[in-house]
Amino acid sequence: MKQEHELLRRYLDGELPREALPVELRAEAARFERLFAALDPEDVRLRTTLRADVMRQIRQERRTAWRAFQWLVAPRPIRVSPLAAALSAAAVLALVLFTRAAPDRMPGLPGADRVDTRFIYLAPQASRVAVTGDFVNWDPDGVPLERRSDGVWVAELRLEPGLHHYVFVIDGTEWRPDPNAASHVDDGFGRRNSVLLIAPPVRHAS
Amino acid sequence: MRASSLSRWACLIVLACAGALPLASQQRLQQRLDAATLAALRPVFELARRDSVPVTALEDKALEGAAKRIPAERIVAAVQQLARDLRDARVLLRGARPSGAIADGEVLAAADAPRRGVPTAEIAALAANVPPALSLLVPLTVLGDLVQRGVPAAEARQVIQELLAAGISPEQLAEIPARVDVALRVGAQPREAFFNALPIPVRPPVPQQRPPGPPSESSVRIGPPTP
Repeated sequence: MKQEHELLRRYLDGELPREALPVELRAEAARFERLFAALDPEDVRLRTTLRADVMRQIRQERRTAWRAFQWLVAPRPIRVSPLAAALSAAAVLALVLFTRAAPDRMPGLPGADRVDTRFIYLAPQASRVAVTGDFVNWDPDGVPLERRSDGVWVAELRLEPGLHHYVFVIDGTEWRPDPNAASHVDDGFGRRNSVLLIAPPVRHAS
Repeated sequence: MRASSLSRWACLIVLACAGALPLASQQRLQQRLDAATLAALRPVFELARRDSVPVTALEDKALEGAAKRIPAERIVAAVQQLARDLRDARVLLRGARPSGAIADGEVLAAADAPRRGVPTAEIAALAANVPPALSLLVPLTVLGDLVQRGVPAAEARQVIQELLAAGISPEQLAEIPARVDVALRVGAQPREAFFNALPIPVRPPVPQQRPPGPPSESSVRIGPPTP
């Protein structure tokens, strides 16, 4: 069947004379010839204005894009009601506060990967002990520790896994590294920071 | 709602978002640093951002200086030094791990390690030998912890590699320095404390043998010949 179609195609393309076709295909070939003859070449002639029409359409589209660009860059007064202005200002404020209080910088916020970390400092004579470090933007006030028996100060924070540098602030004035820290590092200002490593939780590939 | 009203709201929201994001980063610095210090630091941050150096660490250092009431010029100098250290650390890690992303935490750990006595050659060797799928944060920090405790850097590095190859988790690795501390408190030598603190037994690495041949200059005995 395929071969017969191939013969027909070659005949219609002018590669084969009609005599080369098998007898059973000649009727089919004649039917195609009649069909082609019935086609009026005038019907498929492109109209003379086609080119001009296409170019006009393209120019029109370009003009639309240019108009959109002009709309974007043209300065225009925006009329806003007082309520809309107040709502917009509130939205901006909320966004600023939200980004400032980014979860990776706030201790104590719940987070899936955060790790409970306990800070302990022995200072029986101190009236206030706080911990500060990169996890609280080095806030000079830090996070206050709670005084327990025998002058032991304790705080528990939920911290992100990673490498943290921190120190204790005693009575708001003395900055001291953690004597129980795993290690210490030069802070670049001639003092030492304590180093806290929180290993990231292991995620097993499924 | 009319189209003009919608577009008005869209404009306002876009303006709010575009303004708020960089503002949040700048705000935490502006609140704590004076304008002159901030102006001196801005090019350092810009350069760091261009070199993919963790800018947050630099901002933190500036905030730390402000919190500790350090003079402005010393804050700027410390931030510049940290930027150099972080850039060097990033180059070192990239040289050891030519493909794949390098996390900010890894750069920080690699910058911390030399300040804790780890030779850069050991940092590079660890980075090159730890499988790329594993973060370098914990291995580099533990290496620094161990070197600070007196464990030889090359030996600590080789053992860390072996432990990771054996499937030890970062949490288990991170516990080793505290165990070393316990042994040190009861009088163990650092090396002995280290090998006793390992979660699985690891054979101490064999020191590299010198290839056979004439003695090197450093091993030539100087002084009168032995009888």
